[in-house]
This record gives sequence, structure tokens and C-alpha cells, in this order.
Amino acid sequence: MTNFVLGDSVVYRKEADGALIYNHATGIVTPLNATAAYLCESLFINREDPEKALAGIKVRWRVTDEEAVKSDIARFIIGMKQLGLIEEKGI
Amino acid sequence: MDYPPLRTLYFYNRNCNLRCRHCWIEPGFNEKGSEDLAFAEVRELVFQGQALGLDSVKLLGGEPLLLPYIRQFIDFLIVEQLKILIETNGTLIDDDIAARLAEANPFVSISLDGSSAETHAMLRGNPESFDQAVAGVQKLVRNSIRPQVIFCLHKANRHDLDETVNLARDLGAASIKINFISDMGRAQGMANERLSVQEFVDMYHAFCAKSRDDFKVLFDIPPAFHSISTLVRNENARTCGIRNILGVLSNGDISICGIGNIEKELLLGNVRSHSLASVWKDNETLRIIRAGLPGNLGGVCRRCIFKKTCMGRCIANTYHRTGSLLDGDLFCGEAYRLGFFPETRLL
Repeated sequence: MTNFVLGDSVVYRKEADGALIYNHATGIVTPLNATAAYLCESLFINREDPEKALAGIKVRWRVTDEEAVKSDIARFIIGMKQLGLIEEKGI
Repeated sequence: MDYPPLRTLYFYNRNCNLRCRHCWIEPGFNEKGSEDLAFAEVRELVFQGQALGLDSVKLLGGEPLLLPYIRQFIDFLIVEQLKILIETNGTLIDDDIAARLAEANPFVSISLDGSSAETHAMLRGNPESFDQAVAGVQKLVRNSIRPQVIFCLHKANRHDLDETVNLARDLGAASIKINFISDMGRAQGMANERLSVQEFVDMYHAFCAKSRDDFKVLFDIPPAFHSISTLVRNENARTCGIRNILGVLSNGDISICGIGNIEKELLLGNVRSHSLASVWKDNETLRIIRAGLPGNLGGVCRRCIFKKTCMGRCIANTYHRTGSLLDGDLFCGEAYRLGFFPETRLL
């Protein structure tokens, strides 16, 4: 389980080929492609472990380079924090 | 009151060498007004703009290359290190203009409304203008300028979209932009030839589905309709920049953009009687825009998650149709009324 959730001011909208995150506080829309949307739901809505998200990505997108995906997940979490779209919540 | 920087001055030449059926400005045809600004006045205006934050100048028309001092103007803008943007029909680009522009790293848009003279002339009138525009693109490309081609989509040329995209790519253009024809100016006479909002959105989605990765194709469609992949690539993200621009008409009239050509209520002053600073800082219409965008936008814009980036898309068009700048975008309003505005993009 991660200790991050989508921020209170954030609205998540799932679409066929990805998702949109709208931040009421800033008025900014952040688009997510299908992989990023999957990660967002897995980590910040369902609050699954990054390991579980990684396993899901490997199956869905048939990824073989596990280290690259791990690095992408870490960068995704940092990016979401920097954009103010997620906030810490106790586990 | 605080005011934002004036980033771009739009200079509209009232004169044109074509009489395009869809032109929203309705410029004069091969005529020169006795009240047109002289180069010294334009130069002074640019200096005034620089004091307000000016970093770019956009030349439009009519046809901007018909300005009698166009070469001098380009050279001056280069010396002043201002970004040059030009919207042209391309027919008057010669080697000298192309070479001068090459010094400036400009953004040039050239109109091509079909892949053949016959299709292009449906809007442009003059069949020779196709070869001239193609030659214009080629001259720019030879001078390392990759222009954007602008294609105005209507019922009679939609069959030619793919071929025109291929032509633009093969000519060496950097991108092609597909425009929706509004119902302003001369285009009011094209009611039966314009695509409906639904048809334009359908064309966009059909085109997205083909996923052409070899060339940048941009639809002039509100961001509320952009595909996720377009949004992720951050393409089509530019708005007209309404909070940071002023339009200057040939006779020195100042407006929020070119709309002053057809809506006299949106004239804010004249450069011969008003300083640019006094208009930019004190004009009531500009105050309304600054205070009202995006928070006071009406219609479907009020609920749209993109209103901060879109800013009501074209408030000049909205004013033309409703008499209010902030009534909300009409394209999106029509889509909402007909039930195909994307629900996921509404609050």
C-alpha cells in the first residue's frame, strides 16, 4: 500500500485511452496516457504497492525491462507530487 | 489596477490581393487607404509596445506582404529582436522576402485549402494562387524556414484533406493546421458549405484514429475535444493569448484583435490619438476581459475543466454572435446543446 492519495482538490476522470486529472486549486488539467492512468488508479486510488502496480504493468503491456518500469514508477510518483496532485496519507 | 504584459501586437493590413470567400476580416481588394499607418508610425508603436513587455509581432491581413514597407518592417523587427509571426496567402513570397525572414527564425503560416489548384480556388477564387502559394512554401523551405500550412475545411474540400496533408509534408512544412470556418465576415455567405460542429468533431476523431506519426496535424478545435494523446503531446495547446495581445488596424485603430475590422464597438482607440500604454492600462473593455477570463465565462465554458487554458477560445467570435465577450464559446455551446460535448470534461 502506498501512503499517497489523490489530493482533495483533484478530480480524476477516466477515459477510453487514458485519464484526465483536474486540479480545482490551480485550474490545471493533467492528461495521463493509458499506462499513467493505470498507475494512478493502482497507486493513488486503490493504494496498491508499487510492486503490485509493476506486476500489473508487466502483464498488461508485456514489458520485459523491469528496472526501467521501476524507475518510471518512481519518476511518476515524484512528478505527481511536484504537480501537487497527490498528498500523503497515513497507511 | 495590475495589468499583464503586452506580449504580441497583431498588425492587420486592410489590403489583399485575393478575395477569399471565407475571410472573416473582409479586407479591401487591391486598394490602399489614404489613412494607412506609415512605417514611422508603426515603428513608434513597436517602441511603445516594448515598454509594455512586447516580445513578438504578428503580421496578418488581408495580406501582410502587401504592406508597402514590409521589407523595412521585417528588418526593423529583426534588429529589435522581436519574434515575427506571419499569416499569409503565400502568393507574394519572393526570394528576397524569404531570405530576409530567414534571419528572423519566424513562424510563418501559409494557406493551402486543397492539394490542387481547383480545390484551393474553391475558397481563394484565383486558380493561379495555388501554384503561387506552393512556390511560396518552397522558397521558405529553401531558406530553412518550415512554415505551417493552414487548411480551411469545408464540405467541398474535406475529401482532399489527406492529400493536402501529404502535400504539406512533402513540401517540407513543419505542420498543417485544420481550421473550422466561422460565420464572420464574408464567410456568412457560406452557410451551406461550412461543416457543422458535429461534422468537424467527427473529422477530427476520424483523423486521430489514423494516427499519423510522420507529420504534425493540428485541428483548430477546443481542447475539450482533444484526444488524450494530443493532450499528452501538448499539441494544439496554444490559445490566441487574448490577455496579452492587441490588434492594430491599417488606419491605426486599436482593438482586442482583428475583430475591430467588423465590430466597431470593440475599437479601443487610435494610435494617432492614444498612447498604447493608456489603452493597455486603462481601457474598460480590456479591464472586463482581464477580470472576466476565465472565471466569469458563461455557457458551457463555466463548467469546462479546460476553461483556464482555453479562455473561452475566441471571445471575438462570441461577441460577434451574442454581443457579449464572456458568453462562452459557441462551438462548445453547440456541441453541448446537441449532446456530444464530452461529459468527462465537465465539472
